Amino acid sequence: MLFNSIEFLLFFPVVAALYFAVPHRYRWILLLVASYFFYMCWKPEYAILMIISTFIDYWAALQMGRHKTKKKRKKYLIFSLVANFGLLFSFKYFNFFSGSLTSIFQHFDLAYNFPTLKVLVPVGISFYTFQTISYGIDVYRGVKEPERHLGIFALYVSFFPQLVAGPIERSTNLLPQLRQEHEFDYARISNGLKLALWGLFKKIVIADRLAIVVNQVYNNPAEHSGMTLIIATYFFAIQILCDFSGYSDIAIGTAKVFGVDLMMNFNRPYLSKSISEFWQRWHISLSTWFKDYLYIPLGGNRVSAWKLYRNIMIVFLLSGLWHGANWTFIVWGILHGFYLLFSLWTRKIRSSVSDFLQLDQFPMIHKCIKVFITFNLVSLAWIFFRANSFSDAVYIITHLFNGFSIAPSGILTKQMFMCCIVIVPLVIVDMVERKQYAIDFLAAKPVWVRQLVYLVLIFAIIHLGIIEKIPFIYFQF
Amino acid sequence: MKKFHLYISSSKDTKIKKYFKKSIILLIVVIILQIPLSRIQPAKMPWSVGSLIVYKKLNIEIIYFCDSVLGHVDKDDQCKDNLLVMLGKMLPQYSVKAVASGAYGPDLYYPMCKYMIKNNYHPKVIIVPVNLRSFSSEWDKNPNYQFEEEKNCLAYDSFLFRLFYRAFQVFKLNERKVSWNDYENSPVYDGNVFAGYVKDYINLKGANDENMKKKLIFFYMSSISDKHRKIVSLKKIAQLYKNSNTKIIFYITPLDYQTGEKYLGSRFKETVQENASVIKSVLQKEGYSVIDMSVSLDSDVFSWTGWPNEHLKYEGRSFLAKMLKERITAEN
Repeated sequence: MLFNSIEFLLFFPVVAALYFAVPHRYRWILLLVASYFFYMCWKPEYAILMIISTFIDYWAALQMGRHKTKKKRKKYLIFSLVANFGLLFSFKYFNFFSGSLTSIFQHFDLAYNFPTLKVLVPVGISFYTFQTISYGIDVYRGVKEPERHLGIFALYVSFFPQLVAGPIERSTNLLPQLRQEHEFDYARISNGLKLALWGLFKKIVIADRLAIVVNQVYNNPAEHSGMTLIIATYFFAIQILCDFSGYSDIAIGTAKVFGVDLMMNFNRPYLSKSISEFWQRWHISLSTWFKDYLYIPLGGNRVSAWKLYRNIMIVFLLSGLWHGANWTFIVWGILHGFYLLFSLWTRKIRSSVSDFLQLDQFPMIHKCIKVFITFNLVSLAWIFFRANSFSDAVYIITHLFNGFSIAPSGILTKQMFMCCIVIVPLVIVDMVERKQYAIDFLAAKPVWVRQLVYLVLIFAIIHLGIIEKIPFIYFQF
Repeated sequence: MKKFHLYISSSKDTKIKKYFKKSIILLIVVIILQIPLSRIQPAKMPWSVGSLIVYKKLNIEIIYFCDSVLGHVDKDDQCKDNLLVMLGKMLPQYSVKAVASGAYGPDLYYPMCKYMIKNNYHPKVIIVPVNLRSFSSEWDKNPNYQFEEEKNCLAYDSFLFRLFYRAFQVFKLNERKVSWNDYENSPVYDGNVFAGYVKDYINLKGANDENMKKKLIFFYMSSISDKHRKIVSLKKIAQLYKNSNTKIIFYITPLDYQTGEKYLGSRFKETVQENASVIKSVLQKEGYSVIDMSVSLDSDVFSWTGWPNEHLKYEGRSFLAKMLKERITAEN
């Protein structure tokens, strides 16, 4: 079930109404049933994997809770990790590695076809697997007591607002909230719905409109000139932000209606002044996951320079692989890792250049330059993320400055113009949110201003929304 | 027995009431504002829905449902009149119009009939062709041939529905219920025997003997059950008009059985006739006789290149139009 579907528009109010109509002790059952129903709307059989993952981690955590020594707990953690990564590998990566090995063998004239599995990648498997893994590790570390209520734990794994595209929640944040009793809170529900409305606007009006131009260019890059490729690349940068942060906003907003506060997943990432800052603002739940469960256990930055470089590259390589079983994602991850290493290596040089140009005296200009460079580096990396193949990505990069006529090959100028118009509200919100959240900003305005803004959003969704089906980009992960 | 009661305290009750009051006010404001806005940007309804309304206003007497057979004209035909024009010329005393498009079938004709009745439109005659290929996995399961948009608009059309139709479109009301993956993995049967999956048949290239056999199996050879959704739709159409003044003419579309026999032998014609008899028997039970033209035309009156289909040359169209004219005039 998609958030931007009639089914969800009916499903959500019914679940919310029932939630406040039933006593607290039954609410977990309602949410669990609703979550599995939500998930099984795609393919009912996919739920089996989630059930397996739930039982394994529930049992492994209980076993870890029974043992005081880390040594004894470790074997249950390893069991949990092997099971979770095993499922993830089998369903998401097996065919990729098998296909890659076959290609390598063919390159050396060795005719051997590695076996492939006839399976589809279950929706959201990367998200709920990482969520359950973090729970296992937290219990192993003693940060979290094992959850003894199987139903509540199953709900933690499957909670429908964030099930298929995050945010990847931590057990320390989500589990206690699922146990807590939540009163009907008008302000909280109202804020949740407003956030969800903004998320829908970002997805349906901005991201899906940009997708029309982006898809046309990226599906046939050879037919387009350099300027069109550049515009499409910038559009994709905004599309993926609105698509994914739109999903996160709807997830956070709908969870808020049930009294659950999910973690923030985006914090105006394109206003970052460096790549490392970008990763503190983009897909925060994933970057902090990698930081807490991989980067720091590897030694973090308190190690020798070479080990630090190694740690950074491992994290970004795996981050790329997490996004998808394709070389384009791996290259995208490696490129970001390389950006970070490059920024470490050139820190002194950049500082000298800044001093030489006396940029410190013009902090606003200095900041704008940093934001501009960071945004362009990120956009350049998105080319690998979006391109249909590695060769397409290389073609686009090598032809970015090849010809400067706009839309010579069929893209309507009107479509591009409309894209620029619909981006304006996003820019305004980003400007407002430099100081405070847009919802808080609006709350201080007269009632007619607030209502006008909400009505404009509603009617923009109805009249400017894209009718064609464009799935959430992060669903594939 | 302990009585179940809603978990709402009185203070919460007040908050909930306030919340609902505001929600209803918002809804009313949205509806009121949407009235002028929907005039500025009216939702585009499928043409079939619009045409039925126009036909009602024009008081069209004969409605001809059909698939692409209706509009097809062979490039070598001297007379370029399509089936509809030919029938119109043969019946000058009647007004004849069609609701036809490529791959339309009984599962769409039934909601159209319901829609006409709902809108108090009762033509004198409705012609319902039954294309045997439309029951095959190739056609029946094809995501492009499900016509969700038409079916939704026919089912829900009303003032409020039209007012918010664009919103429904944005929220994917017309989303395809069948995915390409499901389609490609649908089973194909030869009679009642499993003969592979759709994906084994759709990408066949080159009309050699082997591929031609496969395509004919794919198109026509699966046995039809009386529980098939398209047969259920036909039955419902029959029931809908059972005691009305509207005459329903069901006919089974001619197909190129001689080419079928050439590649698959006599079993091709046998299967076609068995399938036709399933349809005839279902509709006979509802009191309708079906004109069975499935094996009534020779191969040379069919107009196809590549893979066989039911498109007709002038002679074929002329034969079909005469048959329909006879039935229409005889019935009246």
